[in-house]
Amino acid sequence: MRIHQPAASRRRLVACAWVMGLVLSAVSATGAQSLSVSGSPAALKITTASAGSPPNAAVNSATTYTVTVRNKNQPQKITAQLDAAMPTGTTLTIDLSPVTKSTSVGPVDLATTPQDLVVDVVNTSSRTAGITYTFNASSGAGVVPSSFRTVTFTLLAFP
Amino acid sequence: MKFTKLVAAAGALSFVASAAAFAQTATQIVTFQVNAINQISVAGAPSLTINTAVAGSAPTSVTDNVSTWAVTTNQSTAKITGSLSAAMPAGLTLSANLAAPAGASSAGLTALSAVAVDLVTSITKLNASGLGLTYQLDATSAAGVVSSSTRTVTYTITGGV
Repeated sequence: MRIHQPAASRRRLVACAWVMGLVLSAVSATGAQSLSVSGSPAALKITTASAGSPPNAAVNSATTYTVTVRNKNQPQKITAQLDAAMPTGTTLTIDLSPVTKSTSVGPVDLATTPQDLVVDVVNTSSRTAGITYTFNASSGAGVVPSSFRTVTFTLLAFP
Repeated sequence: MKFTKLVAAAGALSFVASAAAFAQTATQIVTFQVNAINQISVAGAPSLTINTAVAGSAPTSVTDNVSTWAVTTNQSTAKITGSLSAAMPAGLTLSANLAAPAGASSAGLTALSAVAVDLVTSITKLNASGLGLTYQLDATSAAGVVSSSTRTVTYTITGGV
């Protein structure tokens, strides 16, 4: 037999409203800010050199990133880092073109510590720009078999 | 009690979601490799003419040192060989002397022929340019007068590991 309890019902209603509010707030916050990439670049292969000079760099500009920030009054920046150091005598340089109103730091040698790539990102609607990787090797690096590194991009508050 | 748990759970979800929003991440896998590279080049257009002698001796040898050479290798113990496109006329000897880059060994002035000979050895993981390249032409008196002729000298980098 069910007993009508007006006070208990009100509490349940209030609780549900709180829960829905918090969840919607969280979903709204995550949906408003995002960072993604178009995929991974093709392998960077160094295969030649001009006699007397170091091996010619391998370059890939085929991928892009897309970024949106939540609040134009809260600038963000994009950093990147490697999961492991590059082999001796080699460098992996990255250059992110800036999205609207942001500033690119320019070419940056990637390392296992985060490096700023683009700062003052304020666009609240989705914007896409190019990513350029340059792989360099000195003659002393020798032959390097096919290897890979994971590059992690992070969108953080700036400054 | 249920109300408290519900609010706590929602709060936790909100916190996690907010944290995720605060530091968005994306990843790319970058694959790379360096192949074996061995390159050599030479610069200069040497010309050698023998036109005198000390009486009683063979014609005086001439040298040309206007040429240079350059090398890039990312391998170890590479070597440079040199060979001629055709044998020299009887009584004439064309020799070459390649200066060695750091850590390598030059064979010094070495007579060239249609068969490849070692000129520089033990070249390991380096790039160097502007290295000296000297040619010398020797002739015996018996060689006689030799009209202007040319030979192509082919330098090859080989043997790296």
